[in-house]
Amino acid sequence: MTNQQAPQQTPIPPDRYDEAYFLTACEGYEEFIQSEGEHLSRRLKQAFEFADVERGMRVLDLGCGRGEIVRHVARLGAHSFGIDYSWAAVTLSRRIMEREPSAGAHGLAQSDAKRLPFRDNVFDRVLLFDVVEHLHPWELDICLGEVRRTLKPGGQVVIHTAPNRWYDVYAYPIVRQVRRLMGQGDRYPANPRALNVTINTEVHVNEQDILRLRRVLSKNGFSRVKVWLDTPPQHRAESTLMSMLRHIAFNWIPFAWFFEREVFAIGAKLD
Amino acid sequence: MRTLAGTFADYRARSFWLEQATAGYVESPALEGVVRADVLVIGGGLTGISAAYHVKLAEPSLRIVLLESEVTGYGASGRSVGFIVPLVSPSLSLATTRFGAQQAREARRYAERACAYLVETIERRRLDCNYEACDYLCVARTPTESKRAQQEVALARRLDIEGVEWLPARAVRDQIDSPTYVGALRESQAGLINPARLVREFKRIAIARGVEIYEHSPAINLQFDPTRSGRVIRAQTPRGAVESDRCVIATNAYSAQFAALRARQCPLHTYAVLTEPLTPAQLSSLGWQARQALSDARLLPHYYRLTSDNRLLVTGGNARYFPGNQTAINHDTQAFEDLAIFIDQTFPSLRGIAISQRWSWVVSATADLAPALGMLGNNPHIVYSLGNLEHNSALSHLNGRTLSDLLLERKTDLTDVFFVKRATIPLPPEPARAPLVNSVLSLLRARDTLDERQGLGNRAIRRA
Repeated sequence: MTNQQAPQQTPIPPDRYDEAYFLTACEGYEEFIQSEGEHLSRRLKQAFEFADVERGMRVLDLGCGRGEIVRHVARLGAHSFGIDYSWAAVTLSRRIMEREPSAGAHGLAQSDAKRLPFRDNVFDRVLLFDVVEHLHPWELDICLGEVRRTLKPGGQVVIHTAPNRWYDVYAYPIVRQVRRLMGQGDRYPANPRALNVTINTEVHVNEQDILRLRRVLSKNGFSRVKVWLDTPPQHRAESTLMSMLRHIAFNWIPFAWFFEREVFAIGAKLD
Repeated sequence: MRTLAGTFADYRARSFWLEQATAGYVESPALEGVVRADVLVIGGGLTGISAAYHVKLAEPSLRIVLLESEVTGYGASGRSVGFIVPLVSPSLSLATTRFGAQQAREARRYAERACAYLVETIERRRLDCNYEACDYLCVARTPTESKRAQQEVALARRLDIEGVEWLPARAVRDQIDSPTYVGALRESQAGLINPARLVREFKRIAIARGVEIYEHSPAINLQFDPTRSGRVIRAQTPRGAVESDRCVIATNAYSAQFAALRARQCPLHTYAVLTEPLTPAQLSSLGWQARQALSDARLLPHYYRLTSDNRLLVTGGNARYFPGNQTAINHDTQAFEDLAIFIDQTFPSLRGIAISQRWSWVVSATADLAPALGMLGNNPHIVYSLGNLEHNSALSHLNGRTLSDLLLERKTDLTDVFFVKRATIPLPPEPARAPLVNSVLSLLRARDTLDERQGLGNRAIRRA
C-alpha cells in the first residue's frame, strides 16, 4: 500500500486520523498529554524558533492537529489560523482554544491542504509541521502551490518532518545490525517506520531527506531555501565508545546526513 | 633559540591591552649573574605570576624567582579577549564525550570556582583592571549552531549545572540587536577585564609579597640533574642563570621549547581586530546595554566584547598552526579581513567602521582540547601547565594556584580535578604534526563554512 508506485496514489482518508491518532501516535503527544497542551514538544519548539513569528503577523498552521501551535501563535499576538482535514483534529483544536482565555483573533476550519480556503497573498507564515510526510508527492506539489499562493511576498513557509528518509533507508539497517549484535534486536523491527508507532507504516507515504525537500521547495517556487537536520536528545548511559560513535553519527558530516532523524526547512516567497 | 636582540623592541604594539598598560609601567631588570632560588617559575603570564604568588603566600620563607622572556603579559595573558567565564574545555559535550559526565561536572565546578576566586581577588586586592560583571552569551546563528548550543544547555541540566539557560531568538535580539542571532546559551556568572592590566596588577602584588621577577630573561636552556646534590635545576638566560630546587613551567603555548612538553600541545595562532570607539548612536543601534561577553557556537568560535572605552573587540573565528611549533607573531591578512567581514555581518549598522588595531597571539591546544597540568616525569619538583585554549583569564589564575599546590605537594581539592596529572594524547612530531593539525583545522573551518552557506539568522525573510 505505502510503496505502491501508481501515478496518482490515493490520498489517505481524513478519518484515518481520529482522536486516538492525535493523542497516542502523532509527534508531541506525550508532552501534550502531560501538560494538557501547555507546552510545545521540543521539536515543534525548534521549528517554531525559526518561524520567527511576530505580533500582528498572519500565520496559518496547516495540519493543525491538536491545536497547540495555533494557540502558541495566538499567544504571541499574531492572527492565528489552523486548518486540518481531519474533523477530530479540528474538534481537539477548538477545545484547546475554548480554554484559552486570551485567545485573540483566530480561526479554525476543516479543509484539505490541496485547496486552501484563503485569498492570495494573506499570510506572513505558513507552518507545515509533521504534514509533508503524510502527503503523496503529487499532493505535496499542489499543497506547496497553494501555500505559495496564499503567502504574501516576503512570506515564508516553515517545515518540520520526520523521519529523515536517509536514516530509514541507509542508517537504520546498520543501527539495527549493531543493536542485534548487542542483543537488543527485538526492539528494532525490520521496517523502521514501525519503530515506535505502528500506525506510521500506513500514514507516512512521502518521507523526506535534505535533497528531496530542498528540491520540492525550489520546484514549487520558493527561494532562499534552508534545509537542516536535528535529532531528539539521546540521554543514554552507555560506554565511552558508544557515546563517541553517537557523537560522530549525529554531528559529523557526512554521517549526520544519514543518522539524524528530523528534517527542517524554510523557504521564502520573494515575489 | 631566540636571541635577546630585537625581540622586545615594540611589544607595546602587540595589543591594545599592552599599549594601554604601558603608561607608568616600570620594566623589571633582566637577570644578570647566577641566582639561587628555592622555586623557579618560567613564564610571566597570568598562570606563572599566580603560581609564584601562591607559592610565596603558602611558604613565605621560600625564595622565588620568575623568568619572563619578554615582559609580563607578553603572550596570551596580555592579548586575549579578557573574559572571565566558567568554561574549561570548549564545550561540555566534548568534555563529557572524552572524559565522562563526572569529570565534565568536576571541571565545571573548577571553572566556576576560578571565576569566583578571580573576582574575589580583584575586589579584595583592589586590582585596577576595568573589571565588570556581565552575562556571557554563546549565540547561535544557524540551525547547526542552535542545535549545538541547545545540546549544551540540555547537557548542563542533566549534569546539574546551574546558571546555564537557553534564550530564544527574540530574547537575544532584545538584548543585542543582530539580524544573525537565532538564540543563545546564557551563562550568568561571567565578567570582562583588561587582561594586560590584570597581569600587571598581579605582578605588583607578587613583587610586594617578595617574588623576584626578571623580564627580558628567556630561559634558554633548562637542565635537570637529579644526581647533583642541592640545586638540581639550572636555567640559563642570556646573561645569567638560575639554580633552584623546584620549577614551575607556565609557558602554555610557548611550551614546545621544552622537549619533554613538545608532544603534549601545539601552539595555535589566533587573531583579533579592534574598532575605533563606537559613537553613542552606533552603540545604541546595537542595544548591548548589559555589555555581555559574546561568542558564537561555531566550531572555531568568535569571541567579542566592548572595551571600557566602547570599542568593539572581535577575536577568534580562525586558528592556524605553523610548522615547527612557531610562536612568532604572525599577521595573517586574510584572518583579519574575515574578522572585519564578521563585524559587518553581525552588526550591519557598523558597516565600514574603521579598524584601529589588529594583533595575533598563540594559545595552546592539547589533542583533546582540555588543559593539562602535571609533573614532569612524575617528579613533583617540576610542574607544568599547558593546553589553556579558552580565552579565559579566570582559569589561568586558578591554574597558578593549583600549580602551587602541586609543587608544594599539597593534596587539595584543586589538585584532585581530572586534568591535573592526566595523560595527554601525544601529538606527533614534525613533519607529521603540521599536516595533521592543519587538516583538523581545515575540517573544522569547512564545517563552519558549510553551515554558514545557507545564510545566517533567519535570512529567508530579510530582503537584503
